[in-house]
Formats: sequence, structure tokens, C-alpha cells
Amino acid sequence: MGTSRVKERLLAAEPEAGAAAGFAHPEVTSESTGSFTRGRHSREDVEDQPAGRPSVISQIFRPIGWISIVGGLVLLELAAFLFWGTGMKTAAAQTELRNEFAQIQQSAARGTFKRPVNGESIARLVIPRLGLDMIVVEGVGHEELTRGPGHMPETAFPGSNGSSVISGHRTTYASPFSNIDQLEPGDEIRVITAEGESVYSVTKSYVILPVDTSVTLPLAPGEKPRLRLTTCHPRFSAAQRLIVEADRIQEPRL
Amino acid sequence: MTIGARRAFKWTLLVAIAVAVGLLLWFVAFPYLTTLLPENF
Repeated sequence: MGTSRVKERLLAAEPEAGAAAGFAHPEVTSESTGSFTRGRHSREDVEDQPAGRPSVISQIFRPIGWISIVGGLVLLELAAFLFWGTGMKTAAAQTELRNEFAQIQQSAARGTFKRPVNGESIARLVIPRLGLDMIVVEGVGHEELTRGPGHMPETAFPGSNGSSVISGHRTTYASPFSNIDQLEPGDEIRVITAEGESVYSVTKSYVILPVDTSVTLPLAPGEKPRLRLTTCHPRFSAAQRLIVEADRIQEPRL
Repeated sequence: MTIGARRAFKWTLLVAIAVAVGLLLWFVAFPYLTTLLPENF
């Protein structure tokens, strides 16, 4: 059996296998042009674009794709950090502040009391309706509010006979005041200081612009001692401030 | 080194770099970035 007979038999049984083996099928190939007529691409196309070499379009879009993926992952991590990571920092600070506050209460019981500096614990804020129980620190700067709700220093001390303001984050840093919009008139707010436990009753809530500082003004004659809780409004924005006002219904009691 | 081993090494290296960059962002870059924000909500 000659070589030509072997080619003919092989092509008759398996035309594609024959083509792969380098035998030209007389019905499907053209010897004159050498082009491959059965497949989607001509032989020239395949030779123009060797396997493994990306086209110009993919060379342009591949880096853009990778940059988009990496950028998206970084943004996702940033969002996770803002909503949960910051809360972890606040939770750790609150544990430390609770121990500090217990020591302050003990020293107050011994009659020694020093004026708190910014960042120190000054009170325990309890709002039963929201399940909130956090230590309040002195000051409302960035660093102080990362530790928990902060007392505005220029306002009266919480529990005292004046107008007191406590601010807290609404979305980040454990979001202590996340749900104060749910407080209704009559809801209790308890403030425990070294002088004892005071109870406030919510009277109203309203929204103001950040430039409006009227909430920090002292009480007018005849007004009841008051506590104001302030936070950002709406949620995920600092465009406005939500204020919850509460009148004191119980003086500090040990 | 076989092709499989090279591929495994490449991916292990990539994941290690990604984790290192992620930790750097979480513990260094993002805490610093939040202090630069004009307002925190």
C-alpha cells in the first residue's frame, strides 16, 4: 500500500484528523490558494494572530479592568472600615472608659473630684428604649467622638441645673445615636455621673443646620434643666443636625 | 519548577501582597484618612 492510498483512506474516515495530520482534503481545501475553507477563520487569519498574544483591544482594556477591580475592592474595604472598623475602635475605647468611670465614681465617693480633660469619661448615658448604654467623654472633637458620645464643654455638666448637650456619631464609630430619631416624647434618658443618676424625659426632636448654635445657649430664666442629644442628619450625611430635647425629671440621686 | 508549582507560587504571592496591602489600608491609611475628612457622620 502506497503513501497516497494511506492518505486517501485516512481522509475518507477522518477528514479533520487528516487535515490535522497535514493532509489536504481535495473537497475542502484549495491547493491553489492554500486557504482553509471549512473553519471560521482562514489560515492567514490564524497566522496573523499567533496563539497567546493578546489583541490591541485586550491590551488596552485588561489593565483598566484590573485597576477597576482593585479600586472597587479598596472602596469596599473603606466602606467596611467606616461602618464596622471604626466601631471596633470605639468598642475598645468604651471598655477602657468603663474602668476609668468606675474609678472616677470611687474617687468621687471619697470626696476627691477633679475637672475632666477632653477625652476623659464623665458620665454613663442610658436610653432604655434604644438599648443604649455608653460612657460619655468630655469634648466633641474628632478624637473624642471616636471614643463615644461627647459632652460639649461650653454647656452645663450632664445632670446639673443647666442646659447640657451631648453629641454622638450616627453612622460611624459604633453609631451611638443611630436611632435617636425613634425617641418619642415621654421616653426616658438616664445620665449617671459621679454625683448620681439623673433622669430626663424626651419632650421633642427637630432638625437644624450645622451653623445653628442656638442649642448650646444657656437656659432662659424659669426653664427646666435640659439635656439635648445631637447627631448628624440624615443618616450617612452631615448636612444637618438632629436634636432630641429632654427635660430633667429627677435630680442627681446616688 | 513545574508549571503547577509556579502557578501556585504566583497566586500565593499575589494573595499575600493583597492581604498585606489590605492590612496596611485598614490599620494605617484609613484611620489617617478619616482624620482628614471635614466632617464625620
